This record gives sequence, structure tokens and C-alpha cells, in this order.
Amino acid sequence: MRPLLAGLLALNVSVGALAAPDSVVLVSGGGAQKVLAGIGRSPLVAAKYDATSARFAPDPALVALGRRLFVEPRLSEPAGASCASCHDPARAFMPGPQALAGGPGTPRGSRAGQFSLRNAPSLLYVRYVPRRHFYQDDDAPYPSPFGGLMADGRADTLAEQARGPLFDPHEMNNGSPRQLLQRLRRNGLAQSLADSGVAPFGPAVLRDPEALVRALGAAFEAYLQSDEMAPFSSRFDAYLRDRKPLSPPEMRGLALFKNPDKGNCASCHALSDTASRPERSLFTDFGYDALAVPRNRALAPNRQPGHFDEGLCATAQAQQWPEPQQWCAYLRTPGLRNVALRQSFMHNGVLHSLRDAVAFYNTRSIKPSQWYASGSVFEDVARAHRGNVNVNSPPLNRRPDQPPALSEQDIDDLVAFLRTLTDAPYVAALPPP
Amino acid sequence: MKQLQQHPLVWLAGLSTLGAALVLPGCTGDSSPDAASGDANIQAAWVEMGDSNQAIARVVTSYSPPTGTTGAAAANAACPLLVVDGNATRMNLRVGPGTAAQRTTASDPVDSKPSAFPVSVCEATLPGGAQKVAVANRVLPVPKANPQRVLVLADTGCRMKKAGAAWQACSDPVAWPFASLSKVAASMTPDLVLHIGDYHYRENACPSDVAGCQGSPWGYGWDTWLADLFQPAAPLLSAAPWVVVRGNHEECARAGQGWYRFMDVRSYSAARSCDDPVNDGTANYSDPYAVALGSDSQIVVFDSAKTGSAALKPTDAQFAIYQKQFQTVGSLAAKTGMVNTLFTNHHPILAFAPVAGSTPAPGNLALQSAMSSLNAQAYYPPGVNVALHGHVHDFQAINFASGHPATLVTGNGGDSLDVALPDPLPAGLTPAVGATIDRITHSASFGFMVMDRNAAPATGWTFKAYSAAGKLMATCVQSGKALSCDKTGFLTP
Repeated sequence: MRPLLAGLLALNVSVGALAAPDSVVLVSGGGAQKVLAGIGRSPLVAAKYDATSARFAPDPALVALGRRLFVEPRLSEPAGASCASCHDPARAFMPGPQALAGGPGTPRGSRAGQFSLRNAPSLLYVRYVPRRHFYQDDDAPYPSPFGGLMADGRADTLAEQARGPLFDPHEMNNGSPRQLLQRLRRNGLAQSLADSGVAPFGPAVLRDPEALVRALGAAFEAYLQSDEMAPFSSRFDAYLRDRKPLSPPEMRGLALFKNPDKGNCASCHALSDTASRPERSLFTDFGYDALAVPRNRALAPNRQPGHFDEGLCATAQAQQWPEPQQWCAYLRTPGLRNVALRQSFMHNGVLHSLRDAVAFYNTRSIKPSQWYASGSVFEDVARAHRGNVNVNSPPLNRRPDQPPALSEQDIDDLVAFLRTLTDAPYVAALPPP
Repeated sequence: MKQLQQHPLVWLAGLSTLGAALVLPGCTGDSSPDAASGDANIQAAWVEMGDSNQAIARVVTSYSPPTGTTGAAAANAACPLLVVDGNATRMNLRVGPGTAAQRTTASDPVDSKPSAFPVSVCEATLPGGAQKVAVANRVLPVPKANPQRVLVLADTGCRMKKAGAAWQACSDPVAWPFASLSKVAASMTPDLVLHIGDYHYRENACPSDVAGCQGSPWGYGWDTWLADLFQPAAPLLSAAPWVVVRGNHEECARAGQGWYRFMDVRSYSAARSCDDPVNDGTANYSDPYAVALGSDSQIVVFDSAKTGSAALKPTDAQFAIYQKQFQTVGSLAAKTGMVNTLFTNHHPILAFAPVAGSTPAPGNLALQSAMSSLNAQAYYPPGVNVALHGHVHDFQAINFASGHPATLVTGNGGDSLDVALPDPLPAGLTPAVGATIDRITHSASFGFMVMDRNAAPATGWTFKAYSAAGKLMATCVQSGKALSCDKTGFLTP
């Protein structure tokens, strides 16, 4: 489980800046969650989010439209970059080699030479990400934040999330809703959407930029909530459903993944391997962590020595959480389903193999020079916020004089296990181990 | 509590072959086996140390006496005979079977149910100096006058909690190792077992799709106590008498009903049963008491089940309760001739609660506030040399440069582990204002602790941290309030 609100929050003390509602729905169809208090503008809920509570029933017509819009190149400025450009349906909705070619490890945007400032996640299973909230287990000293879309949780819903890439100058570069509407009117897409007869599209999207963006968000949300975006068709899912055995190295990898003295991966990348419902094994607890991965010097903003991707703290500030700086460098724990298909790893795309990503956890603390080329430990976290970095979750807590938690064989076994999380349609696209 | 009355007329058939049935020739003149003493009835049997240093034998039995049993013996008719050094006497009924109406719990009402206790709990105080004690075909451990080895553990249950979406795989000995840990710990032949609370974690029903906890009982009744404590702990229950400490999982809105039926050292009473929430204001607290460790050492047992985590205002009712109780701790520690007082309660007071990616949280601020009102920044009264806790699911051994009592946390007995503490600790970090850490040794693996009495002329104890499999991880020698460990920082398993 992830961190806290250091200092300010004692158990059972509300620090709500705004009146908190009595209840909140964290995920589609999930039912109302009791709200104990408000922490800034975010609810502190009484029970931990449970993905099995989610029920998705998007309008099929809106799903179909969302699917069409997902591959629509006219949605970018200049035209040519669709959602699928970075979230390739042939590669589990994550960037493929073409999107990453010539770049810093993040996918290219619509403008020549422009690349996203963060890596693009797979959009499979994104429908299970709950809205932003806090939860405090009764044995925990403080509440912890969970949920929210994007690595920094700045979007509360899938519909809101769609605004991010649409208007990011490094991605689809649409400037503003007004500029987007003007362009879609010019290229005819706005008219076609207005005529589609699919709610919430209608005549308003031809004159109201916000109505257009809301409708686009609704269409993307419907598509991402559709069952086709949560196939649960991996070999691991077969293991969950039918106890169809994995190979010995894969089973060893699973054991290492869970073992709190070894990989300890499951403490954040949560799974329930005795549960037949695969929603219990999304390989994330939707919490946040500060790992301090190496700096990606190929990212354009990182040419400025003083630039740092501060992650959650901007959201914390916007949401009026107390002491927002305590969240600087925190990023939401991603799910690991289909992770073996990735071409680049971590939020900034700095690592290029799954094995390296696993090895990073194993030796970050005992051989930091292997990871931090500058010689400065936690080099991609502002010096003032390095105290936020997780230095106590095994195996990140070992001293340089201690042996690594994982052997080379252990790392191979973990990678073997992680490859079993690949959904069936994408197995052929797996890189060699 | 009544002292065991010894009746010489009772004859034990073949004490050396305890499998034989007890036969009661006597008043009725018949020599039929004693039905209440049939071993199949006995669900659990153990000895625990009470609040006046008395050893209490306890039995949980499923035996129901025939209807129509009358007379003076009727009250205890469900209870088996306890044989002490050849003399058998029927145990006293502590509390009979019962199911109270569903009460408010820590869970939503739809995830709660009435706590069913279809068993009787029987007890008897053992006479001082008892050598051989048996019930049915079981030999019970007897207290030693000068115990040399104490086995320490805490937080042993298997977590099943809907609000936390936490479904520990209770059937997987790797995920929940308490049963195997109990065997390993029992093999170390302790003279006493100290359990520092949180025996019970199976609060809500296992979801139908989760195999790891499928079929497990849930709620706060007997079946969960059996699964979470009495079955897995059986080797330790038969190894030595227990000293029992109450954890927050045994407060009234959680497993408090079972706590009072089975574990609490005092006489059972409806008013302190946790059956009726109206009484929670008293039943969530109990006075401290001391258990002797020979003539010059003692363990003071403190109930912090209902403490919160924030500092208490002096106007808070809980402040007055804990303040009064710490006054009692001071009186107990001041006992003439007592060289070494060890204090134990569930919530760490001068130790840490680790938090991933942030500074560890300090010790329990509520208890600190009550303690400092009496002893300022010393917190503990004079005479307390060592503090033993659970609650945080890791191991910590702390020596203070500020002269505070050596503090050890052993909350790694089976429930899901907490994250480790940072190594090294952030400079200047303290669990309480005025306390200065000299050295800390810690781990985040399942395990338990053994404390061995230091050989004379030295006083104090040597504390050994073990992994669940019995691997020695660190050794810490106590001398007064000082604790010297052979390792520092995080212990790799």
C-alpha cells in the first residue's frame, strides 16, 4: 500500500476544505461508496476500492463511434495522429516501434519531431481505474491517495482524460476546444458527428466547443469501458480460471512476485492468484509511489537541468490536498497486464527492456551507479523532494553492502511470469525473452 | 475466580495413559466414564497467567450435559475433569454456549452477523506448585517458578476484510504461515508464550471466487477463533502457559466477544462481554496487571485495544482512563525487589509505523499523551526497562541514547506484513518527543521472538529474532534499559 498524508492527518480527522458528499461512485456501476471526510477536494472513502464491483454497460452505438474516433487521424493538428498512433490496437493499445522510432522512449506526437513527455500506457483494462480518492486502512497511520487517470491522476474520469492528449502540444496539439471545433468543421468531421444520431453528439457539437469535447470524451469513455478493452485472455487468466498450470519458471516467477522478501511486486502490483475473477488481478492497487527511475536525458525538457516531472504534486495542489509537496515524484502504479509487449518502460520511457525494469527494483539501492548516470542518486527527482522517494519497500530498501534480493535466475523467472500476462491476440507480437 | 477444589474421591484411570477415559466413581456409585471429559468434546485447552499471578487452565468444550441435570453440579456439568497431580476436579463453567443479538461491528451490518459460540468455556485456577495437569487425554503445560525462555509473537491471524479488499490466502502456508510458525516456535520449548494481541482477523465472508480463503469461517464467533487461533496455535498452546495481551482486533466492535469468552484473565461477566455496545465504554478497557518472571522480573500487561492514533486532550474521557492505568503501571513497576519490569501492550509507544515512501509515523500519540502527563518525556515510570509490542507487522529492536526503555516490536506473526522501515532511518527521527534513537535493528519478514534469561550474575534477557522458519536473524542483549544487538539496520531474511 502506498503512502500517506504526512504530518497533518491523524486518524479519523477530517481536513476537508470543501463539504464532502455523503457518498461517491468510484467506478462505473460500482455503487455508492460511503465518504468519511473530504481531503481537499477529494473524498476519503470508508472501504478500499474493489474492481469486482464495477459494472460496465456503455451504449453500443457510442462504443462503435468511440472505436471509430479512436483511429481517426483528423482529430490532431496537423492531421495524422490518432489515439491509435500511441495506443496501437495491434499492440495491446500501447506504443509500437513505429510510434517510438527516433524518439526518446515516448511516442511521437502530431508535429514532426515532437514526442510525448510521458510514456503511453496500455489502455486495456483502463476502465477499472477508479476516480481519485483517499482510503485509510484501520491499521494504517495515514490515508493514502488512489485512482485518477494519467500517471499523475490529474483526470478524474475517462471522459476527462481524453482532453489530455487532444490538447497537449506534444501529442495531438489541438490548442483549445474552440480551435478543435474550427478544424473539425473545416475537415467535415464535426458535421459527420453531428449527423451521427448518436447521443450526446448532435447539432450542439457544431457550435459549442465544450459540447464537442464532452461528446468526444463520452465516446472514448464508452469505447474504453467496452468489454473488448478488457479481454482477460492471457495464459495467466487461464491459470486463474481453470488452474491450467504455468511452466516451472513461470510459477517460480509468480512466487517471487508475491514473496515479500524477494520481488515483493504484489505489494503494489496487486493480484489475487487464487481468485477466479480476473478483476482481482489487475496488477495495480491504483495507488501512488515515488520510485525515482533514472532521468531520461533524451526527453527534450530534460535538457534543462532544473526541469523535473513532479508527478502527483501538481494534482495535489489543484485538489487542495494538504502539503502538496509531499506528493512530488509520486506516480500512479500502472497495471502490468501485457507489460512484456512494451518497447519502453517507466513513466519517462527511460528503460528499454522488461528485464532491465525488473533489475532496476533489485539493484537501485545496492548499485545505484548502475542506474544513475549522473552519479547523483534519484537524479530525476528535484533535490528538495528526494525525501519522498520510496526507500523502504523491499527490495528497494537494501543497503549497498547487502546482497540483492533477486538472483539473475530470479529475474529471468519474474520476466517469464510477466510474459504470461499477455492477452492472446498479442502473444505473437511478444519480443524474444 | 474460584480456586480448583481437590476431591480425593476422584480417580483417574491410568494417568500415564492419558488416552484412557476418565471414570468417576463417586456419589452415584457408578463407574461410567465421565462424559464431559471425553476428549472428542475438547476443542481447545491451554493455561494462561492471570492478573494475580495465578495460572488458569481453560478449556473450550462442545459437550452439552443431558437435559434435566440438576443440583449443585449442574452449573459445571458441561465442564471436564481437570487432573492436577493425581487429583481430579470438575472445572468451573466460565461461560456457556450463547449467541448474542447482532451488534454494531467494524463492518457494515450486511457484512456482519451475530457471533455464535456453541461451546462452553471452562476454567480452573491451578494450585501453586502444580506439577502435572491434564484434561481429557491432554497434558497441559504448567508454569515454572523461574521461567528461562519466553516465546513472543503477535498479529497472527489471517486477514479477511471487505473494507480493505484484503483476502489473505488462509489455506496457503506461505501466504499465512502462522500454523507452521507455531510449530517451529513450540519446538524451541518456551517456558511461557507472550502473545501481544490481534489473534483474530477473519472479519468478513470470503468472496465466492477467491479460493485462497474459500470455506473459511468469518465474523467473530467461535468458528473463526478456532480457525484463526486455536487450531494453528495448538502446538504453542500445549508448549507453555500463555500471557495474553489484547489487540485492537479484540476491541468490542471486532473480536471483543471472543476475547472475553476465551482469553481475558478475569472472571466473565455479561457487563464486560462486549455483547451489548452500551457497555463498550467500560469493556474496551481493562486494568493493567503484572505476571511474575521469577522473583525479580515481571511483565506488566496493558490493554490498549481501543486507543486511537491522535494525541488525547486532557478533557477526553479516554485520557483519564489511560492516565489512571499508567498510574497503576507505575505502582506495579515500583514493587519492592523488582529488578526488571517489562511492559507490554499492543500498540508501539516508542517505536515506528513504517510508511512506504515517507517518513515513518511515530509511536502511538494517544498513549504518549497520557504517559507524558505522568512522567513527562520519560513516558514510562521508573522501573520499566523493556517495552514489548505488536500491531506494526514487522520486527523492531530499538536502543535509546536518551535512556528510554529498550523497545521491541514483534508484529510479524502471520498477518499480511507491513513495509520495511527505511535503512538508515532519517537523521534525527524519533518515535516520541524527547526520545533519541541510538540503534535500531529491524526486518519485514514473518517471524517471532525468543527471550532467554541472561545467566547470573547478569540480569535482564537476551532477545532473539527468528524468521518463521526458525532462522536466527538477530540477537539483542538487554542490560537495564540498554539493548545491544549484534546487527543494525534492516535484516535480510
